[in-house]
Amino acid sequence: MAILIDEKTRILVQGITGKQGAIATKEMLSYGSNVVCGVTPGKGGEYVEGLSVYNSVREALQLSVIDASVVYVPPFFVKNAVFEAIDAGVKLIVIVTECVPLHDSAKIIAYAREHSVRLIGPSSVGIISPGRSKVGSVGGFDRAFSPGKVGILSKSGGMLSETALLLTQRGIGQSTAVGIGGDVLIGSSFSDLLSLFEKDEETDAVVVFGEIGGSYEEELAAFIKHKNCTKPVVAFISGAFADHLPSIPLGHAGAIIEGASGTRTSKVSSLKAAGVLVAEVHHELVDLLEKALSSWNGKQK
Amino acid sequence: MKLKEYEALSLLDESGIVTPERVLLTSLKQAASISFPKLVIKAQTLEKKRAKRGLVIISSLSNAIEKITRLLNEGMRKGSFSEVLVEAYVEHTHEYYVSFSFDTGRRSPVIILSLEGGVDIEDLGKKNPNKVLIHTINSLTGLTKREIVILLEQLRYDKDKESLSAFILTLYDCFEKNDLSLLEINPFVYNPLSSSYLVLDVHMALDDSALSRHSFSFKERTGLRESNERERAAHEIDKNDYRGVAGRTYLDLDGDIALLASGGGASLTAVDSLVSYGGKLANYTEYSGNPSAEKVKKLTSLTLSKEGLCGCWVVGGTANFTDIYETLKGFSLGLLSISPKPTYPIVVRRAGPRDKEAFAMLRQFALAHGFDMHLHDESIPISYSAKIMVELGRSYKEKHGNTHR
Repeated sequence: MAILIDEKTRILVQGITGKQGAIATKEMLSYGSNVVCGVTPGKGGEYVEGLSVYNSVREALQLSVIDASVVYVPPFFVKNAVFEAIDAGVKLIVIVTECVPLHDSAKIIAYAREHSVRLIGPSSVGIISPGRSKVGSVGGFDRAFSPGKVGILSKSGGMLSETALLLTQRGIGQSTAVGIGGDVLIGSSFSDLLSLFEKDEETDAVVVFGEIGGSYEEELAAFIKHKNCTKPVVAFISGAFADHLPSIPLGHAGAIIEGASGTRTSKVSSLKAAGVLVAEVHHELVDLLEKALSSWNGKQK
Repeated sequence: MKLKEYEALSLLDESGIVTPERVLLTSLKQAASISFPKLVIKAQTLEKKRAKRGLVIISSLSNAIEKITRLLNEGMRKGSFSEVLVEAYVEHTHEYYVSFSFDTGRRSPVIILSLEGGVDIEDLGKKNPNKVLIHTINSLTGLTKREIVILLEQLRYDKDKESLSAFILTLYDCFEKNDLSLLEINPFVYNPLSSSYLVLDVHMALDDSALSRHSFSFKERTGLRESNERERAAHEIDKNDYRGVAGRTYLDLDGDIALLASGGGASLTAVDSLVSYGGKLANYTEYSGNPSAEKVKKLTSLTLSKEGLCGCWVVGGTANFTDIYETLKGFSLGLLSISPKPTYPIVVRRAGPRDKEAFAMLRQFALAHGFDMHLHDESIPISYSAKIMVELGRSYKEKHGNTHR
């Protein structure tokens, strides 16, 4: 069934009456996602796209069953919104909001861990299982994603759909594509989600879009090296340009070089050492993927 | 955003941490008032390892003026710093290390503690891992005195654990209250005269995402240097309009291809390609998160106000929710505001919601106003678009002579 979401996933939108929340709700519904209702404190009783708006997650959950919440509230309100959803018992939370303060993210991640909640983001563009469902702002461009058997994980939202587009243009569909977010601290890392793809019968290979800063790519390399994933993984890491620009976050908050760690060079070499095929130019990803898929399919037979 | 030492010290003061007596100098004239018998002269630069590079000097009062002069001149010559901090020297026998930061591996804040400060802590950690302790902080419960005492026991600290852990807790409080992304004290020392722990050097960084819930008044900077006028203007564009992000990151560079990139990840990918084909950027900036046309217009006007350009590249990945029509409308309005009218090639590579409408609009616009515009949709990968931009820029320079300063 793809990972994280499918057509049955019942979705709640936190911050549904805001501009981005309302647009995303409309788009999710038209994609066929099972959006059930929304929450905006103080706006209970209103309707967005024909869906009920409640004052709190708890109130929403008294009247409906929810599998996932997607968070569109402003940055400084994200912490309370997510705590509220966790307390109410939601088990999958996707934070689309960007610029969440680091100290808040740390608390959110710790709280989600304590309650065994799967957290995606902050700064996630969303999750899409093409042809089935999407959660968040992903996939507004309908030529990018197509159903199939390749998973995609990306720190960047734009490059998630750009990568899907490359695959789709070559006739390779996707099982699930996840924007993990480009912040310093994120709820689910590459390796967290790769372990889900490894178990997913409908995924044959995984494409990773990483970038400079932090250690999520190195962590992924170690995860693969220790044989936690047997499916082929191909990757592209951006940010060669920034390897020599210390202490400036470029693009995403997490894309920052401090000292020798987190550079593109260190990420590429550790991924290659783990057997990951790494593209030098982004559009070569699809060539490497085809190569990996054909040899993997050969082994399966 | 990294803070200079004297700025960081002011935040420590507010938190009740003891810091040395000090005077900040921007000119030699101000040095006359200094009366510390022994003093430390420190260049106020954001770069690390100042001591190794001769940017921290211990001096007697009699030699101070000469040394301050030398340091101020050096900063001016290199353009790397314009301020010098003069501190009263604090006698001490031992230097300690403590820092608070965020660890992506543990996905939480960590404290790093060592009884052997004053050295490169990464080197020490590699050589003697048992002398540098890294401990995960539960950010929900905060750091506790008990945790610190246990760390001190592991390090075999044999003096007063109570007062040292109180000092460390105050630092953690400062880290959390001010939304710091880094607080590194290397070193701190025990001063028997005042029977207190005291900070001799500090590295501090503020979390950019949390700035607006504080009322700091520190000057803006780009990486390790102070932001220039154009960079500050770009930050203003972003701050004054909450819709999407445009200009929050703006880096003035010395090449000749202007860049308006879209989306954090795509921007870096695009730039990597451009650089690999030999292109040189006049700037690095990006917009994302569905900004208003007005915001993109302002960022375009600012970016293209630079002289000596041989091309402009508007590039992004495949947008999920950024309205391509709105943002390219903003770009076209910004373009109209540039005088003299740009004759250099403009390469646009965009895909996403309303891109077909946007391209039809730009085609009309380029025709009506006589711009040399090249439009690429998703059938051209970002990297091919980079190659085309570099080649067009090169032939523009060949035709028009090298207009670049």
